[in-house]
Amino acid sequence: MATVEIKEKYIVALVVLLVAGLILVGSFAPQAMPSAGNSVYAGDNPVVGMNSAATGYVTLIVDSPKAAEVNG
Amino acid sequence: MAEKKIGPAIAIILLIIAVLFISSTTGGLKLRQVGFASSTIGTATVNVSTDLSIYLVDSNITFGNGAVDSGSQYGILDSTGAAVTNCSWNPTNDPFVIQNDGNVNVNITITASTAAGTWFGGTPASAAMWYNYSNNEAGSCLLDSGNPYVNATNSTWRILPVTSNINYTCQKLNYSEPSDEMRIDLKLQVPQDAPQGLKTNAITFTASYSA
Repeated sequence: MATVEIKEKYIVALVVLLVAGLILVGSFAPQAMPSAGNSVYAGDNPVVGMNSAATGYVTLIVDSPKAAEVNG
Repeated sequence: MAEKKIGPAIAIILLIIAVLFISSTTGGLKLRQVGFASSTIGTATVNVSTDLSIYLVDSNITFGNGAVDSGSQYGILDSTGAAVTNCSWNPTNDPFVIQNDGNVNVNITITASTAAGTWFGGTPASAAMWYNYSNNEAGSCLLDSGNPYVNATNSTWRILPVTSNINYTCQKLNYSEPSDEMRIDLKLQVPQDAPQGLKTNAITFTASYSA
């Protein structure tokens, strides 16, 4: 009987250890990492108008024909 | 007594076997290595919006002083550097240069703020102004055979309008470097009786999105 009692104690201890081991392993199981679907979104840039304009200038100086002859 | 010593030994052996089994099947003893070796994929998203922008690299055409020759009805000069006709202005090579600074192709229209007759003064029938365009950087204007105004190699002079009628300088001006610049030249016909003085006209280029 003594032998049987001792074995039972160790078996119980073994089971306890196994359960503890399983819990321990479970707690250290790899955690889900951020994956596709987790994203960094910079947001929309403001749209810079759909029309854009630029203005230039053309200049000339009209001299009198006499002045032009002198300058020429 | 012998049985008492055997019992603990069996239990310990079973425990070791159980732990090794758990470790081998779950990787429990290799968790750190598994963690460092694993990889994951994240996605960074940036939305690039339409940016429509044009810029006049050269925004002035300056012809300087001159006059129409006596006895001529009008004089003709242009900004391409060509010889003048019946007038005393010096040949001028000084075009407008327009650049597509955005990130889409654009249509570009051109208008003058003042009609030639009003601008120069004198006999309206003798006054006129035209424009012409060409690539300032090769491949800038993307040709479109469906549009009669689009031909980057065409030296045809077209009447410069003062209204908002569609007068393209280029229907599809490319946006990417180094092919995003057009050259726009002007040709003027000045009446012989145009009053003396400084003459300035504003030329506006308007860009719109080109699909």
